[in-house]
Amino acid sequence: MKRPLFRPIEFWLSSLTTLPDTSFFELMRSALGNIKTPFNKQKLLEDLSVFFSRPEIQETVAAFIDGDDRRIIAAIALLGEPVPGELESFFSGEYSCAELHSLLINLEERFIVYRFREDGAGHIALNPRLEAVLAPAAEDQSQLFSPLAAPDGKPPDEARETTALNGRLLASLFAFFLSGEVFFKTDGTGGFRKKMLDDGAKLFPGLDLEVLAGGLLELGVLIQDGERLRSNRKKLAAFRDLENAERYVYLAAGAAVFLQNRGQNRENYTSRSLLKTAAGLIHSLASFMEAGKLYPGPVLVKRAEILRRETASAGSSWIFSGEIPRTPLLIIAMEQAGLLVKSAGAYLLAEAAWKKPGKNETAGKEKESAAKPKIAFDSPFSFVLYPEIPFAGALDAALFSRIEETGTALRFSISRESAARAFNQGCTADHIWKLLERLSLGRADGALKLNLEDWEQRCHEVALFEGTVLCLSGTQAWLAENGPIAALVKQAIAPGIFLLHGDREKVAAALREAGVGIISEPSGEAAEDGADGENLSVFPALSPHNDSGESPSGEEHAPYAYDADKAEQIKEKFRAALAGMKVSPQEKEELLARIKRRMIISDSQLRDISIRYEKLEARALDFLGKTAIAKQALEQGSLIEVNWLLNGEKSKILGTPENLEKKGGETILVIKPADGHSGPVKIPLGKISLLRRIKQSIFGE
Amino acid sequence: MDQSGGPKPLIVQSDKTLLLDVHAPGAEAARAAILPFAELEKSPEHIHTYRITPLSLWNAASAGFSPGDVVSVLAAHSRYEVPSGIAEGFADTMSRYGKIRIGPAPQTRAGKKAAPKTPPAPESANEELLLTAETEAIEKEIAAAKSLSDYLKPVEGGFSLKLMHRGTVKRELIKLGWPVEDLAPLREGSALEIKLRETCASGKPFTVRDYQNEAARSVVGEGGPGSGFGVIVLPCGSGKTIVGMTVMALLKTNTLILSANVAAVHQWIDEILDKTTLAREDIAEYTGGAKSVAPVTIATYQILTWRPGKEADFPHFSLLRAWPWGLIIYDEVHLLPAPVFRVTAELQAVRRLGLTATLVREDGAEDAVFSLVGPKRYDVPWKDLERQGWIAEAICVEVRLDLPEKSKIPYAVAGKREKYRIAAENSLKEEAALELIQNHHDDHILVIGQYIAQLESIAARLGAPLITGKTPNPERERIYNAFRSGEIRLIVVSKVANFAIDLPDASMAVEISGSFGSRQEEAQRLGRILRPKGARNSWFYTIVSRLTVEEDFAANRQKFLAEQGYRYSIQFWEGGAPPPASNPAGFPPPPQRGSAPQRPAFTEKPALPERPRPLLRPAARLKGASS
Repeated sequence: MKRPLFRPIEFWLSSLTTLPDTSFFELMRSALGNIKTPFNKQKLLEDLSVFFSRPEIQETVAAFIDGDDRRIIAAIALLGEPVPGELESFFSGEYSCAELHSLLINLEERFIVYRFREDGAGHIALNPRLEAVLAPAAEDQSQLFSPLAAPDGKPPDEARETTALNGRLLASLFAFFLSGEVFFKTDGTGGFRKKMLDDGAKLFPGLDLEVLAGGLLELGVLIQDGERLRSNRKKLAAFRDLENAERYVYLAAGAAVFLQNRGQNRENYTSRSLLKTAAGLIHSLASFMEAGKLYPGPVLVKRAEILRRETASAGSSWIFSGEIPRTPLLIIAMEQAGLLVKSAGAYLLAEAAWKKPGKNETAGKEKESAAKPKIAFDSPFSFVLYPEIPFAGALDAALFSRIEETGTALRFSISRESAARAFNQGCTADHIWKLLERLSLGRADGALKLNLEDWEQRCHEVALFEGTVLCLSGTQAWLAENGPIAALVKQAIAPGIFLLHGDREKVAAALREAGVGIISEPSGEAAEDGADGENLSVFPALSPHNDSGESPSGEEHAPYAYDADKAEQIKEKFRAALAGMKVSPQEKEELLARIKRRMIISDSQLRDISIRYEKLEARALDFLGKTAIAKQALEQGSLIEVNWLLNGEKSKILGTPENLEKKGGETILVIKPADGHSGPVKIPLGKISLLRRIKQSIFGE
Repeated sequence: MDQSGGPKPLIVQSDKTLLLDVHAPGAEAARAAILPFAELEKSPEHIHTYRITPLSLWNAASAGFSPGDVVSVLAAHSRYEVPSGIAEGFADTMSRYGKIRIGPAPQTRAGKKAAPKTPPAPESANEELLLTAETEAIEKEIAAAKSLSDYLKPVEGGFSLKLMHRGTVKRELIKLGWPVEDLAPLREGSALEIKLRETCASGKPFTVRDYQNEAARSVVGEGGPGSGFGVIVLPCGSGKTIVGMTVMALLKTNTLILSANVAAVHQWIDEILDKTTLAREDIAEYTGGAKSVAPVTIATYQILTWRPGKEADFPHFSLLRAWPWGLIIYDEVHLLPAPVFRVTAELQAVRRLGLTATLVREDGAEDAVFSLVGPKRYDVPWKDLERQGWIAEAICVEVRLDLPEKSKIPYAVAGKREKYRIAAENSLKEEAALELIQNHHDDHILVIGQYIAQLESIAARLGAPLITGKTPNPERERIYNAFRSGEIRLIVVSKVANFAIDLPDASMAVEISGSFGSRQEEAQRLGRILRPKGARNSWFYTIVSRLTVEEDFAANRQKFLAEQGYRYSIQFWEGGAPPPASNPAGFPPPPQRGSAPQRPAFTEKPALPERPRPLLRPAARLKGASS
């Protein structure tokens, strides 16, 4: 269950009381100035709460919130009081651990976030006293998943890097997959034959046919029938009738499940719940994206991860969370299914897949479209499909055609074999002819009609069931008595019905040898059609998607503005005030650092204060400073960042100091790198150009 | 959108094919715009296909087209966005044109890279030419090509090559992706005074048609480098011989004409005498029967490629080499035999004209024809000339009939080739052919087939003369002349009549068998009946055994014509069954020219003038549909 964005103020205050006294009072001083003894923790907490409730303080806190702050605030809200590790994973690739740590410490110093322990883990939460200030940033997730700005202000070119699957190509894939060719390896491993994938790659460059076929198999639209593919009529019809975007979403869901299961032996059907869950996830991710905007891969993965987590926690008890496809696979599947296209190294929603035309636009287009041919015959037996053809029309045509050419326009051809394939799936010559007449506006060739009728008739004359039961019509009965077929007849079951020796391939070859060009092989899919339950929709409806083109983040009216200019003015005011004060150089340096770190939000924090000078960084010639920082870090076990010149080139390392060694008059710092992989590194202190101690959390994390 | 508001006509595919929607507004303008850089591949009824090839781009470059021009034309006429990336290849391909040049080898050369634009004429085949490359990198690529090493000798400034190897070198370089700008001039040949008549010797008025003139001029050009050779593709019956004579009249030079057979040689002689100012003594026949040479000599490919033994030289090649020909015409250039390819490669200094209706070769050697004889200079869709009335409107019908019961089992157990033979020689075909012939009693009919026994049988039943390869040439001439004069209206012919036989009055062909799936043969057979006959249609029937491999071969045979826009209607012939009362004639009467094709269903009697009843009892039943 997702937690609320802000806990009660009492919870925040009570978490502060758990701090060790040193940290607690240090924190109070930094906010309230020079606190007076005797210390009364409850009173101090009340004062702190009052301090942060003052409008001018909230205004200043708000003005100081910058882009990094907003992103981390939004991430904390999104992840729901995460542990630091979750934040690190979330921002991996964007912030280094040290950068993130540093930013979090600064947010703690500024009372924007706090930590508390729960269930044995330290969580990071947003200060509820500052809810009015932080809520807009917390709710604005677009900060986390913001698209890239187009360099020239122009919408990115969809097809710059990838060939996006579109409706026509998807339809023509069925012509390819259902061509009757041997698709699977005959060695029993179940993998796809390389030849078919190579042939497909020539026709469909840029598409991963294995993933797409796999996705359709997972959806149950395609079925593996021995070494071939065939369709499940009911599911194919449901897939055909899906709303455009939903079709792409389901295809992506199937592809994602296929990718997740690749290499595993699957004996069962993929459950409807899992497919629906994956489809819902993909649908949500696509809905979140703004049309025409580019999103870096890590941003989408992040978003998908959040959605996946939500889905897993709210999901059906029928699905193990481990079954839900992993987020990188979701992105790959969405790309392969044509929902996303890659451009300039980032992703954008494919317009053809996602854009839903407005009602008026649809009506107008349909009217205009009806008057135009969708196909044009370039020979009696082949035709070109114009890009305007709707998916349903292209799919219907694909089921009795062979794909010859892809491009702006596709080219299909009709052969005896391709028509027979359709007849075997219950299609009729009349249906094919009427469809072609409709799509071509009456320009189909009459010779084709007669051929179709002839082929259909012949298809019914010789039928092969389960590969070994041959049924011959009266006019073809002689086939069983002579030549290659006669040698295969094991038993005459009934007049015109024969049980044959051998497998399907052998029988088909013998029939071809005998001059039978068309063999009916009716599929026995009636039983399979009902496998998922007759009363359930094959592809459950998904929630309507956001295609309005508006930003999903929306714009809230924030009571306090995050204003960089104003922030600079406030800082300048504090620096000017400091300049007029009589303080030691060390105190001045510390106060200037606090102004820079946005810890000073009130004049009172500059006056009457007791400052514990804490040097955090030292540069090149400041040997003493570097030594002091190294020693402090050694004592506290803090992380340090070391910059130095190695063979004339700048190097940088992040780690924990292990020792300070003396060697031949040089002091050498021994550091254990934070990456945990490499061994200790020794750097002479004199060669360090910048040594920075990374402060620990006030909360001791 | 087009200016008229309709969709633009062109669809540009990423594989560089261009689909032209002939029904869209602006289709004609688009066709004219793309012709300089795209080759017509097929022109069926609705969508014509053009292809942009390296050769077509080089031709465009030689005519001054830039890659930008090509892209602009595509963008202007394309219905959809031109695929990104397609234009990138144009610049690379077109930039290759002009980088390699062939010119005469001068005595002294001023500079390495400057090939002279107007070199002096070479005088003999042994004279050397100079091949130059624009850059050192190209020069090195040429030097490294093994296929060229026998012909090219490195010299200062390039490579020398013998004049006789000019064609071979050009062909090999094209294979390597380098077109050659050939600046070496062509040989003039001995002069010949020849003009076309305005009135034929036979007394008929004679005018060269516009397309014939255009075709002739497309080859002759302005006489500068790059012109004077090429291939003309025109349908059978559209007057390719007249195009040849027009070229002869333009060039006025000694001419060697190579033709497919003796009958065609005689036709050329008759045509030249009828339509030009040449006298009989200016024309010679060089065939198996007569071997004389004159300023215009007409020979057969057969005599040219005859040799006494398998390993012997071709003695008649001297005809090509020795005489000062200024023009060689390759009639039916699609038949050019391999040895003639070789000798043609030597004759690159002579102007060359290839004539064909069907430049489709089952051996895929079309490219060799283009590179040795010359590029395709003129091609016009058959249906365009049909619409203009220059060739007859041909109605094509595939008649399907079952195998007789007695053939079904032999067919089932036969091997593949044997299956084809059984299907092709289906005995019921004779019955169907007889009925067709009886139904067309005022047509002049050719019955064409592949198998002699089948042809002999049907010829005997019809009482018609038979011409096969064994028929002596004088006998063939006699029969052809009798057919031309109308003395007989029916002849049975084997494949010997596939090519170059001009039978102007032939108005119907019945193809009872063919050589497997030859597209060229099918088109040439149709071509026999394409001479225009006023308001009459021509009929092309091909009889095919149903449910057999012959259907597949027939479909393949019909491909070329289908790509030219011909549509075969299919009819089923069911011999022996009683015909329905509404159509007692069995086969439906054919519609007249210009009328829409009718569906020959039993229940509908076409609203056409009734044809005379067949001579035999109408014992057949026909059902089917035409589109």
